[in-house]
Amino acid sequence: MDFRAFYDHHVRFVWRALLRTGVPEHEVPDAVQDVFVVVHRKLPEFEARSKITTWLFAICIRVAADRRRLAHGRYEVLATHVTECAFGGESAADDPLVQTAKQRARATLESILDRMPDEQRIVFALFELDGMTGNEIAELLEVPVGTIRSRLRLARATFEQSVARLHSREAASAPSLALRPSEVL
Amino acid sequence: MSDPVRLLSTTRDGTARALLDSALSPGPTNAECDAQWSLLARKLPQAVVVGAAAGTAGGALAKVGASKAVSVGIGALVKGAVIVAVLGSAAAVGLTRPWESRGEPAYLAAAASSASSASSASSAVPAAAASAVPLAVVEASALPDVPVAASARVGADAPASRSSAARRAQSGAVETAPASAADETALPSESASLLRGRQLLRSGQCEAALAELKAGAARYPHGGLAQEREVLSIEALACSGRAPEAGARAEIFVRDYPASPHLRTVRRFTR
Repeated sequence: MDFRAFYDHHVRFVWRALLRTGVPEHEVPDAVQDVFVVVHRKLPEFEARSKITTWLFAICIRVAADRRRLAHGRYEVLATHVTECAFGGESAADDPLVQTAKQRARATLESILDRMPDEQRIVFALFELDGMTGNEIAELLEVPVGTIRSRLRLARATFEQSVARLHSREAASAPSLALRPSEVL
Repeated sequence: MSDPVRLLSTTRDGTARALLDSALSPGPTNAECDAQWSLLARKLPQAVVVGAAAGTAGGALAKVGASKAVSVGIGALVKGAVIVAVLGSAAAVGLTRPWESRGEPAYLAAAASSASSASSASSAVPAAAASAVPLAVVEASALPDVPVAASARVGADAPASRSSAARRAQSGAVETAPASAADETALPSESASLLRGRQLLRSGQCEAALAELKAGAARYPHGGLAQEREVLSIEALACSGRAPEAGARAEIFVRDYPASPHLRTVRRFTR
């Protein structure tokens, strides 16, 4: 297997792993590059003691953490894009207003996920968004499935509390969508 | 002890559903993967890129091949709303300020000219920031009703079993979608109403636009596009010569939504 084949085999996994470990969607392509550069450098040290996906996922977690530390103004950039999509006229893709709502929802979800410890965030994302089972996640992260379910419970509690807070703010203000970026916290 | 049921399959909360739906992703396309490889190949030693089986990297790859590559698919293909990341120029289309490229309506230009210097300074979108934003979203209804895997090269990390399981889960979610999620499911029709209002506004039929937007507000009091509707309503009021009313509502908007992405637009109408 050459490196191109290795890349083809795993790039989708890496892409999604980065997305689920907190890399903003527009930064994922760059982060994919970062991961495979590291993989290329470290591959000689890989001894197959763990599954290759577990090893890749660990690299993704580190790359995501580095990028999050460096992330500034992420929502400002997103907000600019949201505004221009919504009012940019007919040239935007299918339905810019629906896009706007979706992107606001996405930004709000990100702000909720950012409140979770990394280990909870990852389990929540893999289970709720990617449809992985507890056993699959446990296998991927090499932790007991009971731990995975415990993390999921905690993450769900955070999510549900944040949604409840959104509802209370919505009720307190004018009728509007609660999905406002960076106002969840 | 088994896994709990996924929230998307059980929640009766429209907001929770919208939040979770917003993050579902079909993953990168073949073109995106190939583009990434092209960039990556420039960063790697050529011998490895072309696939030398010998050497340390080749040896390691052999080890990888010998070990069982786990088939952990984290691909959830869903029939409902999906988000697609559109890279490159397609996303930049929406980043052009419409009033600069198509001619700004007189009332909007007047509002802009009286806006504060801070506002005008913030209205300049840095080209670098603009080009760094590849986000765009399409609705599932605009996509063919086939699994992405059918048209995309399927990696070993995204097995069909995972995709079908995710589809089943999502299918269940759709079947059990309660009436309380109506606001979310009404998004396309709410959006259509809003687009009609905007078209009327852009064609100069300001009163008609206002009526359309007002009807939309009555029909979707808790809709997902309330902010956008209010922004257009403010603009329609100004367009109708009701500047004080537009200004008052703009100030309320700024107060109620201090983090809204539409603030820059709305501040043009504040008194």
